[in-house]
Amino acid sequence: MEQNKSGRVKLLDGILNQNMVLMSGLFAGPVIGAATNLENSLVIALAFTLITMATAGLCRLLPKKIVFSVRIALYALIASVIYIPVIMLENLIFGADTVRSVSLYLAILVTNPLIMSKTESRFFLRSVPMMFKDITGFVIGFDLSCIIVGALRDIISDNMLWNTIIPLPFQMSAMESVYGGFILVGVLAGLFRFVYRRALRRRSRSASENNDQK
Amino acid sequence: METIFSRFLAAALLGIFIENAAFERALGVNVLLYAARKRENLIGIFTGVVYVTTISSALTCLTDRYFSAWEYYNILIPFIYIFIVSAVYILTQMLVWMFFPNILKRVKKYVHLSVFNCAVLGALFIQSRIGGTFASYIGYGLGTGLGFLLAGYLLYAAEDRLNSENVPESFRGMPITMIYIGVISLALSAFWGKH
Repeated sequence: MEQNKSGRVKLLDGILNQNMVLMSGLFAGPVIGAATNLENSLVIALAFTLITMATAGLCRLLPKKIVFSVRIALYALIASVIYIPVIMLENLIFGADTVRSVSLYLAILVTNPLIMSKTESRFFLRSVPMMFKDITGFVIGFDLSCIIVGALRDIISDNMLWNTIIPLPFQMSAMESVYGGFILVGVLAGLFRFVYRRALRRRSRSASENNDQK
Repeated sequence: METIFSRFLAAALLGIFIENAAFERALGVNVLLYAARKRENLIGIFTGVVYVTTISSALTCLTDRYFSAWEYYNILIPFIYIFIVSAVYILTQMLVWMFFPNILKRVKKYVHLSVFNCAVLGALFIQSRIGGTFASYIGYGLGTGLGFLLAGYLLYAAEDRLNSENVPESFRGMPITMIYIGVISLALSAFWGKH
């Protein structure tokens, strides 16, 4: 947990170091199952952002005296109430057909691990502004991964990005399937870890060189 | 009686193999990754999943039957299902606390993970879409839990190899596990002739 003594939180921690899809695989299901094109991935990302932020904010108001088991159940119930206006909004923005095509994965967002486990173990241990900053990092990390996976699957499977044709010498329709999603997310996670660790090593090497020079 | 049993069995087999929550829908991947680390977690978590999906499926059958004609039912489904799952979770915990307090102490740290996860809620949604009789609801609930257990066992069995030094460092752990699940999912899809 990257947190200094003053209780400050690094936004990049949730985006890179603890990315929910590419680093820990904490919530890869909707990305694998529903983000089969750019539009679907935007539907999932927007719903995830609104449901998670609003639920965490409201759940923070619950008294700590409530028993843990009941509190967890209340978190899920609050998320499922927030789901209702979020779906109405998404129907207006993206259209009912698009939202219906990913409805199974939208519904399961109410039990996402940020709400069900990270609230208790991490977010609620901080002050309110730091809590929202921390959640924002995790949400941006998930949204970016979801949109990148959706865009890649759109390009590889249909040679299109939204309605723009991307001419590629091959087309792989299997990328739209669940197994295609698993394999793509696995490969992306491996590459992401490789690049991230390499960047970390390079930074620590340059820092030690600077110290030697001083 | 024969028809009830055949419907129950057909729905259970559907949940275990053809519509496997993990391999065919990518539901509950985080729980799978967590549970596959230790044998104790595996047994505890999947017992919880099998129990909750089976009992909740029986209750959601009743709500689907009596309220599905209602105009706003579809948008209220997550709330209704979460309410049912929460009621099952809290009542069961109270009973276990009264009669087997030691067991509750042992499983307390992960019991909520096995109840409030995508696989449980996803199974209830899929069964709601498929519809059917009371027997098929219970069969599908039980089948989903057992299918999830099967997926967990396959991951647990391969855990050592997936984390071995033969795998490149960046791919060790979660990335190679995802690819492994993808390959099993591909094999199952080909086996069942899905396109």
